[in-house]
Amino acid sequence: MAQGGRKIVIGVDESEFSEQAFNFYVENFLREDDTLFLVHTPERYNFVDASPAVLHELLDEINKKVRALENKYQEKIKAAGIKLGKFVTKQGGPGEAIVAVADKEKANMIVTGCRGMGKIRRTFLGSVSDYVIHHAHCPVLVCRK
Amino acid sequence: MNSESECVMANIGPNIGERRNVIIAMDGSDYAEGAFKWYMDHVHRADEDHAILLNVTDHRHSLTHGSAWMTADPKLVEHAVHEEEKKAREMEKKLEGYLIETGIEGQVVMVKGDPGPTVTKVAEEYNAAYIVTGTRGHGKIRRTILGSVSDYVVHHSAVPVLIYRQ
Repeated sequence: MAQGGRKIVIGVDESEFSEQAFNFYVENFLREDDTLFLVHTPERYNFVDASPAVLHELLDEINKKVRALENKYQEKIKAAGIKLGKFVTKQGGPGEAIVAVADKEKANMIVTGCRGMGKIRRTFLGSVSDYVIHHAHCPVLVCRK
Repeated sequence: MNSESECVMANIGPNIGERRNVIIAMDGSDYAEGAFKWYMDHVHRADEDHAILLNVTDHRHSLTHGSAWMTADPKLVEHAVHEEEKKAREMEKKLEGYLIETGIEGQVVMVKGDPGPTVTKVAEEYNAAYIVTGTRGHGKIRRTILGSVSDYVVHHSAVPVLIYRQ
């Protein structure tokens, strides 16, 4: 058994698939000394034409959602007994963000759901998991139910 | 618990007691070996896991014997089949060797068939918790990032898939 201190990157969004992936990791892979990086990319709005008032409202809404998500996963982290969990919010595509964080932190493994918030359900694998599988430089766990 | 037996833990059957089955797809390639070693070092839970080292031999190519492209000389066919069997036995020994070396709780499962669908089917049969696979195996085509079997498995598996790469 290798010495501890694994770094695990998990992409999270508001979907239940994200929760399932997190739960699966906790039940089947979790080690006491794991450090978790939860990567989230809030939805982007096109701000160019927005008036200041609308802009303010939109930003507010985004911040609220991000904080809610953060709180939700902080609870889950605590409940699972994970010692260290960091929430990372990035701009841009979720796949790219997940891979970027994993590269930067030299993660031991990435955990991703099979799909997330996307509307297309015909494929077995969402675009984010698909991207991550093809671009990650470390092992990737694709969860599915 | 694992220290007592040195013999090959083969063919015990699915779902021993409370252990969860983990399928590790192995074709004898370096990628597969790497995946197994990584699984051992970073993922394997000694008191919970039952590792199933799964090897799928694609026997269908031998069906080209007797077609327009190859003679149906019985001796040739017999020889080819014999060679296949020999290779399979060597593979089985190699995989059993991994189990013995590491002393982990597990078994070797050898199956004939179309690799991708067979891996997913066996995973279902054994009620596997998840499947471990490399990005590619023995295949000759290197243009894709994900080999055809791993690609199939990750798209069609009913259970989580861990794709190993370094």
